[in-house]
Amino acid sequence: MIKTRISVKISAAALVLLLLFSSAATAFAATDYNSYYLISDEADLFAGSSFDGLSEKLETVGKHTGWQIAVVTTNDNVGSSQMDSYYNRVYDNNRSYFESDCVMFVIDNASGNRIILTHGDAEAYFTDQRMSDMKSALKPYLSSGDMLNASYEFADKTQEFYNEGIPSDGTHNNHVEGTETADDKLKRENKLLYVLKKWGWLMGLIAIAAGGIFAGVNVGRYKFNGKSGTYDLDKNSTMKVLDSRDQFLHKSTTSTVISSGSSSSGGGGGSSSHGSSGSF
Amino acid sequence: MATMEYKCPSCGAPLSFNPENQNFYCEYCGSSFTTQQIQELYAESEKTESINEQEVRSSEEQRAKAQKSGGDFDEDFMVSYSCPSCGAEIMTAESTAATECYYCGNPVVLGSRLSGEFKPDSVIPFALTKDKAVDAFMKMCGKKKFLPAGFANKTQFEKMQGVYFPYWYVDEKMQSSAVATGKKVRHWTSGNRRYTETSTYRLFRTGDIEIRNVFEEALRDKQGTPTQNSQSTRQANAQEAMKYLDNYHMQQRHEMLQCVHPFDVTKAVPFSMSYLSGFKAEKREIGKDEIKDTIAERMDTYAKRLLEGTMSGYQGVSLENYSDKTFDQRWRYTLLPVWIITYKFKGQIMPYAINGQTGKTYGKLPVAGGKLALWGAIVALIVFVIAVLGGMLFL
Repeated sequence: MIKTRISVKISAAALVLLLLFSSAATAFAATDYNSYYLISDEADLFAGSSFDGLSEKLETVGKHTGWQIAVVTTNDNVGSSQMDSYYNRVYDNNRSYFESDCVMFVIDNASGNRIILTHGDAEAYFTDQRMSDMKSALKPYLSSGDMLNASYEFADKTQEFYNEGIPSDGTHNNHVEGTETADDKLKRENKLLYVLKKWGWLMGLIAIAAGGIFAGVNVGRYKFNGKSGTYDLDKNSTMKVLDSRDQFLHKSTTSTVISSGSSSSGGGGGSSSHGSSGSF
Repeated sequence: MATMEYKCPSCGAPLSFNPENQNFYCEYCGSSFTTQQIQELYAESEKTESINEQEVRSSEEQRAKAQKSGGDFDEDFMVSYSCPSCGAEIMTAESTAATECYYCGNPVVLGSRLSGEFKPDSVIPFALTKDKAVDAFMKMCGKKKFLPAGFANKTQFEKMQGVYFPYWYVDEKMQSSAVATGKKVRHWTSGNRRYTETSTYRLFRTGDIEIRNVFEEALRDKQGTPTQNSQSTRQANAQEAMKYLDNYHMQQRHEMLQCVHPFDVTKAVPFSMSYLSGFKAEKREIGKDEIKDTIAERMDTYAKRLLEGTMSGYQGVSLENYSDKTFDQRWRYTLLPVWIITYKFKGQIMPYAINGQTGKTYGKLPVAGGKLALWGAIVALIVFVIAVLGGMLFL
């Protein structure tokens, strides 16, 4: 019985984990890729004719830099604050497609958010300053909805950064910019107002409950002012044990299977590191 | 009805027991006397009081008869007596054993009510003077921040009375045996399996047990609701404090007395009427027979608990069989000292009880609604601010 119950619990936990990770893993499928480039056009942004040219461009830059240059379009509708973690998870869960040294340009067509993620050796080349430069370079194409040329520009700028080498004084703080929901914007600009607007009602209820409990407890303490004097058995008793026998009756043993429990994140490619990112 | 009056051997003024020095002190001439001196002096008078035992017995018979026939017995049955000092006719409740004359303030002990089978075995004398009892009450109030303004004010004490309440104390020696089942559980892990081994044992225990000082109140339930009728005879006789308590719901009175426990029964002394001088005392209304089953049940519970205490190391101990044999059982009818305060606040009379030995205080306190609401709002505000700050940090 115990065994069954624990097994059910483990199965439920595994299902929850599976659902959690599957949201970032199931939808991904690379349309075209090799170790120097990857294109996944789930959002159907690139016409068939333009596709080959882009593949060629990305592969050329990939061979030049030694990194995998990836352009990924989706309809995942991910909020700007979630872009970084969400697409890093996509990267981790699809290591059979992605290389360790990789630069990803992700376009979420549903939410209108974009992000550039770097992995492995490429991380050091993409400083905050260069990420801003990249954003400026892409902006004209993105604002006009020309995702193909934005991708070409992304490849060119990547090659340019590689050619310039690793900056000696660059910072790598992640920065999130670009299309934001009203809540995300409020959160960034005025967190207090955001918290009050979003969770104020719940906090107010908790506070009122706390105040009510405080008042109730005090009313109770005043109403029942003092504890009943209980009989102290230890103090008022003595016992001399005359017979003390413990007779063994029977023994039973049950066992349960221990689940491995530790689910390793990431695919078959082993551990990975995530570098600077820029969402816009 | 016959009465006992303790007078100063030096000047003839009324003598009262002084809790602070545990002796008798004459407020008029300043003489003090040990309890032994007073007891020796009044030994003869106390003895003659037992002649009037018949009065008490007849009232008990009246009660028993009424109970048997299903008729009513007036719980508030009044008895009159003449004050030995001023001769005034004073009324007391049937259970009152010591009081003071309303007219001259003379302490009077109705000795016949505490003689023969109604004579207590022991008494815990008051150790707290009236002033110290008031201090204990004020100290308790001082710790309460939500009392209405002006509540803890000595001038508002309506009435304060030291009262000896009757209690039964029972000691028992017995041999108890118990048979129980218990389990020992062991866990270990091997490979990817976790094992649980449960061993079941039958436990046999026998012990010589002595349980002391199991107590039970010996006052009968007073039916009805508290009355504050200012025209009643008893209020006219300045028994307001006790009148209120006499008529108080049993549950409330029992709770009040229960909540000023515990008393240190090692300080109990053999009963002497002289200890009651200056205080009010209630004689017992409940005999052994009426509570012997309750006491036996509690003794069993305690004995089982003691035996189960020797079954440590086992989980889920379940008692299968229990038996005991009583060797010796001793009942002590003991009077316990309690200060009863009636406090008047906003036209309402509130009773409080203070342990006359330790100063432990009990009674329902009024709450200043505005003050409490303000503090409740402050607490709510603090919680809200903490929640918002937490939200800003973690959301």
